Amino acid sequence: MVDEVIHQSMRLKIMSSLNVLGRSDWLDFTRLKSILETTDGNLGAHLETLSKAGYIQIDKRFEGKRPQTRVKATTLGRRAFADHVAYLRGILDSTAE
Amino acid sequence: MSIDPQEADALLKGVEGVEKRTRELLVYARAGDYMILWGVLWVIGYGGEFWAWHYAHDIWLSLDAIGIVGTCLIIWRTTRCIEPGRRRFIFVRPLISILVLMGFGILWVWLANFGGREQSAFWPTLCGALLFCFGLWAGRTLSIAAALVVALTMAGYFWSGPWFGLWLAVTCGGALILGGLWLRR
Repeated sequence: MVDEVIHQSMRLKIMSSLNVLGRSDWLDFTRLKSILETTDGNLGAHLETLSKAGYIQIDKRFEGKRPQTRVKATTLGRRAFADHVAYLRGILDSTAE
Repeated sequence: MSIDPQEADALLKGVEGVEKRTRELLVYARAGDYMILWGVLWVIGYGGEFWAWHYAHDIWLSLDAIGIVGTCLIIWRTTRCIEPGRRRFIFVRPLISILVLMGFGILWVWLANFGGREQSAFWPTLCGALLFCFGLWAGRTLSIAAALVVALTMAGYFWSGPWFGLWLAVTCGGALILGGLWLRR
């Protein structure tokens, strides 16, 4: 069964990036945008979808006077990502046999 | 919804690419801070060595102490979101690396009885060699910056004549600062 939320290419990439970090580590929105080479609007929309699914946590705060948005993967999100990657690998393995 | 093998392959390659890029950017952002710190210290140290060589020993002792404290502060700042147990682990490794590097350098400067010019060239080439190796795992930009530092040091050693200290301050210190700023951009 395909997880429609995480299967979308950009959302899968977002989860790939966040999954690299430690469980309690956050990633700045601007840094994530630079890693994925996308726009503010596109990234923001996909983060919202992932957040509604409970796959990521979004934290908006002020660092000094500057607003800062940071995100991190939840346990549920990490599990969904691992399952989806395993599912994709399974498809490749089944064709190789 | 079904996924064909080509699509699965493309998605997995995308995942691997993003994971690699994320690891590189995280390392670059941290390495950039260290490079700027040590670049500034090299500018002051080699500049001080050039203009006030009588005090070179004291200057470098003070700068090394500042460098170690500064490195600890950078590690503390970059790891403050990490849970305390893992943080202690992350904190200790770079610090031990710096102390081992310094100990190794001091030992060989003492054993080999280097002249002033050789000693000035030794540290940037030692740091450059280690940074180059680290870059092979962490990201090739670090290796390129390290190779540049070593090449500039050797060029200065052979061709800068009495301006060697100033050469190291401007080119090697400057290369570290510019490289660090570029990595943090």
